[in-house]
Amino acid sequence: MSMLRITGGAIHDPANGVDGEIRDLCIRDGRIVAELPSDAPTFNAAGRVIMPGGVDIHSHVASASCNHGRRLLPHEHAADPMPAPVFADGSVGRSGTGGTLPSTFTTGYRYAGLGYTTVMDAAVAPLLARHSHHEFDDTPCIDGGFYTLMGNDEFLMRQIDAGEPAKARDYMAWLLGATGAYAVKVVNPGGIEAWKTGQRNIHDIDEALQGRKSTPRAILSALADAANALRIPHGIHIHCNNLGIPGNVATTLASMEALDGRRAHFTHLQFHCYGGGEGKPWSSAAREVIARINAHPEHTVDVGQVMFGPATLVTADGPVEYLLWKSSGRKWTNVDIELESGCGVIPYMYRDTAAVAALQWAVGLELFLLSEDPWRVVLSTDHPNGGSFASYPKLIQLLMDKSVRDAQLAVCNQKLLAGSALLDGLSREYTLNEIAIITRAGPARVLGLTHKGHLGVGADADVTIYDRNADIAAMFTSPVAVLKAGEIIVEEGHLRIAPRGARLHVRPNHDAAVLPAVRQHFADYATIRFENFAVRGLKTPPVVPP
Amino acid sequence: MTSDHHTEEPGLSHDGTVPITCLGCGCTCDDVVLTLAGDAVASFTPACPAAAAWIGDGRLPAATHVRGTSTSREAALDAAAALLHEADGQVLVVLAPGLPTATYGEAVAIADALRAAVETPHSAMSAEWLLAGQRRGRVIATLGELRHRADLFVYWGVDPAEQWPRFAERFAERSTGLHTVERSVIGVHIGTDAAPRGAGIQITMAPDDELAAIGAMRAALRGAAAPVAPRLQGAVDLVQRMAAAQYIAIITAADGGDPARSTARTEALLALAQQLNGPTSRCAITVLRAGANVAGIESLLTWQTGFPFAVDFASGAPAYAPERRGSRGRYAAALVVGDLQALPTAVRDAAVRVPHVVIGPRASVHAPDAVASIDTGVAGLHEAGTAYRMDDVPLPVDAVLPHPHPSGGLLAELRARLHRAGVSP
Repeated sequence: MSMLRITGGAIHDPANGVDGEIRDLCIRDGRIVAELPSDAPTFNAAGRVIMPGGVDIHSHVASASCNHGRRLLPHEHAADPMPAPVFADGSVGRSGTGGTLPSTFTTGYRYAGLGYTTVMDAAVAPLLARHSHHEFDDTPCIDGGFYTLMGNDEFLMRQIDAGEPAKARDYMAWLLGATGAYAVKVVNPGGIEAWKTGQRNIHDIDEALQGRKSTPRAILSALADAANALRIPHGIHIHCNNLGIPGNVATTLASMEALDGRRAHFTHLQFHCYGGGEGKPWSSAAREVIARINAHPEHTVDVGQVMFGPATLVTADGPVEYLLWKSSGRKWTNVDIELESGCGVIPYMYRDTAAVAALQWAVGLELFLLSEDPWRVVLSTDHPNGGSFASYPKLIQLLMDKSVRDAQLAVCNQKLLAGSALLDGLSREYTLNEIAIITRAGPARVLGLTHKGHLGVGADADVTIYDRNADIAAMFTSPVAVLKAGEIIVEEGHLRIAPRGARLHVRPNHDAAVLPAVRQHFADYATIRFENFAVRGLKTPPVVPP
Repeated sequence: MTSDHHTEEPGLSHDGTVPITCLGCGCTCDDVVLTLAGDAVASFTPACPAAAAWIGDGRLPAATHVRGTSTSREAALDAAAALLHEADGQVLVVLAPGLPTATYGEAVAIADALRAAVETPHSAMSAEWLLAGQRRGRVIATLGELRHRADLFVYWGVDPAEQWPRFAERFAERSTGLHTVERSVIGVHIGTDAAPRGAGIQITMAPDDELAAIGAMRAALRGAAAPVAPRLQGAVDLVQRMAAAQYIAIITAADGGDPARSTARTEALLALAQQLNGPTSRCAITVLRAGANVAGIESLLTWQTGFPFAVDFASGAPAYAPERRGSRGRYAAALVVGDLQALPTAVRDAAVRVPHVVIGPRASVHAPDAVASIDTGVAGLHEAGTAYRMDDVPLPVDAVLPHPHPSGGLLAELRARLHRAGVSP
């Protein structure tokens, strides 16, 4: 039986209405408990800030796509070697390399070093789910899960074309269980399939795929309804059509409107909030979009903030990477994945001297600063697309300190910032409690992870303890201590232990009557047998919907 | 890495047949069915020479030797640990084909702890492709995508019939595609690197002309109007045919070809494939790779270290040394994990020229001079886990035949011995 009393810290636990209250936090056997015996071991947190462990709702850390990205980045890895950590008991961990797409062990160590204890990989092709599980097996310190790609799935689109919503729902349930996934991801609905044909892409949510009835609207609607009917803990996770294209705000708003009244999560929203196009210059459409989000409590978002510096664009959205390759001439990997999806990778650099990058940076901050409900507008950089997760402390600093924001704004290329709310002098500064919401409590709630993101009795004892520091970035870069399931894994900047995390996945019930059709689909079109598709032997039990 | 997703027992039917995933070539066909007779394979379907060579009768030796003398498993592991420990950081770890991916994970962990260098078959098989891909990127597809999309297959200096006997029927021109009705096949013969003779169109070019030909093709795609040398006109005609297709599959080989092919040629072909993606056409290049689970070796090494091959842990963290691959450094000892005989000669020689330990299939046969050798089974017949297809698609493999020495357990025991000897982890 393990016990620990953390004493004297200022607790920020917004899910339980606690905002800086100084009191003890009791932990027993990996969970938060109400009280402990008086002789329980203690950890002195007097004068310090205590939050739940960070929860990253949208990252790219453990997938075949990430591995394609790693292959493109030998220079980054060579420049950022990470020797094996020496743990508290004298044993030694695993070495690795960093950069924008670190090796797996380094990914786990560095997330833990920032106080993050739960991370979701946002895009995994079902055929390659087994690979993601292997990468997560080698990513210590965090509980992890992934979203499986379904927005361009051949079997699913056939059900939509045929007007078979029940089959679509049961297929979704089966596929989630078979791949060991946590939620459903939709990337450029229909557009990846179009990329593989002469159609090339889809630009309007009512544009049908060639030879099909399926439109983005139909795909979004079918998947949202299915996920909600199945009570999957997290609503469908949507990467809208036309990512990164000037004028894409129209598509973004139309996609949201298509799902009015239905639970859905719109991801890396910053990349979907651009005005302009058709001869007009790029501009910010953040105000328009966030106003809609503010008014629709059924919808949640993560921002996908751009941070200046190196990044790697890793996405299932093949056509957008193609456009970027054509315009930039950078190195480019594209992978077409049979019957399901795709993948594109381009190493990238966001410079504050570049007009579009500066606009993207500003749009993200506008979304944060104009948000009326931090529970529904949560933090992400779409790691490593908008920037590395290592930049989260700097992003938090931008949100909490207007002077830092203004200093960066002053040196940005402002060519495209006319009309940006940021230039209007947005004065909001996030509080510590709001930071706790957008980095922990909010993502956990949006994900339906009832045991995470809070410090109430029964919660997972994933805890981060910070020293107060006027330099916000420094404060969030180096927690005093990080606890995972009640064990101190990081203390004073050193990894003490590196436990293996749990796998977060769901296994919704489905009508087995759908399986003969799925089996036949495999027999006709797949290149592996149906029996070899499902991942086997996940040790962690599935998450049950709240 | 663990194999905790693969704990189910394989399904042996009442008639003594059992499905397996064959690692006889990079196609990794999972529709192969064995008929067992006791602990041996009596027959299998469908017929395939690569599968026949891989499966044999399913029996593999199970010896443990120290310096050529039969001994216990424990004694062999003790001797192995002693050699590696005494090598004092001057160790070469070689990942050889034939084992489950998780076993390679154990081997890389040992290399990390020993600050060893890691060699793989890729140093000799596909280094130029990997390096060119790192410089430029690549447009590729899983093999099923070729089957369903490609309306033009261009075999560039390779005929898969011998090394990948079922490639054409499962993934290419003889498969049944979802979206394609008519398909064309073009064979590009480059010197002695022959393309399929049955291709509808045959093009021949001299190896010395290959780079210029690709350059002319790329220029033609850019719309260059300059005339080309007559010997390159066939290449220009070829690229015009390619650009008229909807989805082009360029098939070439990472191994078995002319070793003199240059880095520039490799990169040029990748660039051509990228350039063929345009408003009206799509293109993917497939680099055929042979060897049982060699794709798994590359994939695992990439996710664990950030580098796909030629990794050196000497500094305490992974470093990349592709320029010294194959014969780099002086080593005091080597650990080979996998099928020694399946390694390219240069990689094998680097290991066996120093005191070495071999843990893998037929180790006792192929490594008579080893300080210690322990025979294992192979993935998909005797060992369960994951194996990767040549296009990086991971498939589960099962143990359908008995073997007393599962490789993952051996490596874990060796790691534990090293730990007890003071080598972390």
